[in-house]
Amino acid sequence: MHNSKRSIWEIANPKRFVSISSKLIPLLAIVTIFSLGVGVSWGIFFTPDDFRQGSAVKIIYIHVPSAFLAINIYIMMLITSIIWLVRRHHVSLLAAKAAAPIGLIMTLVAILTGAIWGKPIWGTYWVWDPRLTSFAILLMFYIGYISIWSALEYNEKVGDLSALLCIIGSIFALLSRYAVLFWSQGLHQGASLSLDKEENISNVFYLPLLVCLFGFFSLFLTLLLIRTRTEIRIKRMTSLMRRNSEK
Amino acid sequence: MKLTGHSLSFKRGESLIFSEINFSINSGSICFVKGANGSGKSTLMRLLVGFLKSETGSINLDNQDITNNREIRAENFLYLGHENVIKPQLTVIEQILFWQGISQNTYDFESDPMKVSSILRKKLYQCSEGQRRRVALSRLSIEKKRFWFLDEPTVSLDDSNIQLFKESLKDHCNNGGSALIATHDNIGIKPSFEILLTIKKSLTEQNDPFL
Amino acid sequence: MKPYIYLLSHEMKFSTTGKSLLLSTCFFIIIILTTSISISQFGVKTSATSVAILWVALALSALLSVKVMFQIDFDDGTLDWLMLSPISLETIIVVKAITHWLTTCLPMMVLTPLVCIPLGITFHSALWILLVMLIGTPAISFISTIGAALTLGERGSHLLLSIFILPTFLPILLFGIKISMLITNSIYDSSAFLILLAISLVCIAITPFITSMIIKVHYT
Repeated sequence: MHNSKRSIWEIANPKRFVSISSKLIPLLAIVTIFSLGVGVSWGIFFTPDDFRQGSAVKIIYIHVPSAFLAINIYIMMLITSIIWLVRRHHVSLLAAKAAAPIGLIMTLVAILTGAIWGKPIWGTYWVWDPRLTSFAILLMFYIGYISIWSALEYNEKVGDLSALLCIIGSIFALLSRYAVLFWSQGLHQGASLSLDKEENISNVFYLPLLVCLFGFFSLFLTLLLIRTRTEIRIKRMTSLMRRNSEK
Repeated sequence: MKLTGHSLSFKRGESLIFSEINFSINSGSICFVKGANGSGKSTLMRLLVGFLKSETGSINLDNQDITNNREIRAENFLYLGHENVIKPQLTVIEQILFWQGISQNTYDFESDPMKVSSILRKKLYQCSEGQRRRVALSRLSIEKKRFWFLDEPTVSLDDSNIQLFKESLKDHCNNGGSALIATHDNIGIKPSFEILLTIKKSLTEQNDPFL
Repeated sequence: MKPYIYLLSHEMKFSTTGKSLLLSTCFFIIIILTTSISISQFGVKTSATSVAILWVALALSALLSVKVMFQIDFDDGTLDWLMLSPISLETIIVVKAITHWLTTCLPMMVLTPLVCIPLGITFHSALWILLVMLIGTPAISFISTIGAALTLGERGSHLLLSIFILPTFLPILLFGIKISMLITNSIYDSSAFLILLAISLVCIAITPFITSMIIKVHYT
């Protein structure tokens, strides 16, 4: 059983997680500030206006990364929930719990920036296009997941329930998405980024967008680590209080 | 038939409720589970009938491992906890018919071990606490199961009703059945043996990953 | 009689003798009347909004009786007892879902041709919509068991339950509404019909297992 090699599961120990993350957080914070500063200012001040959209195009440096995170945070929650159900690592569950509000905020930011951009370009803040509808659906499942945590006291049972809810949520979110896609074409353009070079937006916008994407991702990691540490400390505090009350 | 448990233990969250429980019950014997409030008597009962999963150990019936075998447990085990398993809106007879229908067995109204025939038409919410417990105990003789797991069966029963319960328990044992009873007092029965549970000194064991 | 048939008949008897049986049906009528009265005053009613109101009213009313599905049995120990009975937990869940469908969805469907009058849907379309509902509503009953199981043991969690469960009705609602809308425009789209049937059957097939997993969580 005891493997002398360091394994990824070491961070599943709350104490190890706290000590590792305390070293990582300052580093990540610096990376975040730097890459977001460079990415956003490069994108906003040093790129040309789009010939059709004008300067409205510049909102993609916020919109695309937040939309990207909104979806991927839910996937991350799904993975950590499954890890909790299979391996019973508390840190994994707490990470899912900590990530949910970040994901909710990212979803809101994506919807909001999209609306601000949509007004001058599409002429409306909101339209029931498949992609926008998918984000509305995603928002509902984030709210559902967060509400189970806010309504019930933390214990392993609620952990299991929230993990199952996350899995059920992703099944039904996917089903709803395909139900939405079944009939409609939609206004929203295709993905702004893809591995296929031909489909990509032009290089001038592409590079700063990548930097922003990286910046948002490291922002998410920083927030996630901080929030997970908070959750671990709350959990540790209740454990300590219980031990003291029994003495 | 012989029911044995090997080194059973149970954890709730991070706290160990009990560990190293070993026992073996033969046909026709009665076993008491004793211990102070909060020592895990109910938990042990619920673990034995399979509502809770034990952390370690196994439960065997005639050398067959039934720790994860729902069918065999459903065939042989009967559990009566603190709840009476009754719906207050129903009459006593409706409740008994429901139990009969699901378990595909019948209550012997001729001998009427729990003396319920006088209150058959009464709604259960009109019954007194003692009458309700009697109805609940009548389920024991409907489901013809070998092993009874009773959690404080005599709560809210008066002396004459405890006598009724003891007689039906005696009948059960004479017919080759056995019973595990969690209780505070001996109710005048001599058990074959007792399982004594003690409250763990420190419920928060050191394996709490957050400490 | 087989035990599960006996359980079904008991459940039916138990849930029809109570006073709450007609409540969800009344709620259904009330939602439809209030919304159609509000809308009709301004003359903006279209077939799309009418069928959407119909389906959403149905989903909301179906939610009303979900909470009691397992809660009563859980509280009085009947669920404990059923778990040591010859009936498997999955079968119990199926029985509960069927009972919910028969006592909640079916009465509303019976009333559908009637409530279609204030919504401005013709009788002919209403009969076709009824067929779509016949396919869609069993899935609603089965998905509801998930919510009932998730909030088991939590007092006053009606609201919590609605927050989880309403979004999971979306796939059924989206297809149901779209097909019904096409029907009111005399278009009969059989492929969408079949997909609704597929989603409905998949939900019916998997939810008993999901729900039994959730109920087992409550037993740890």
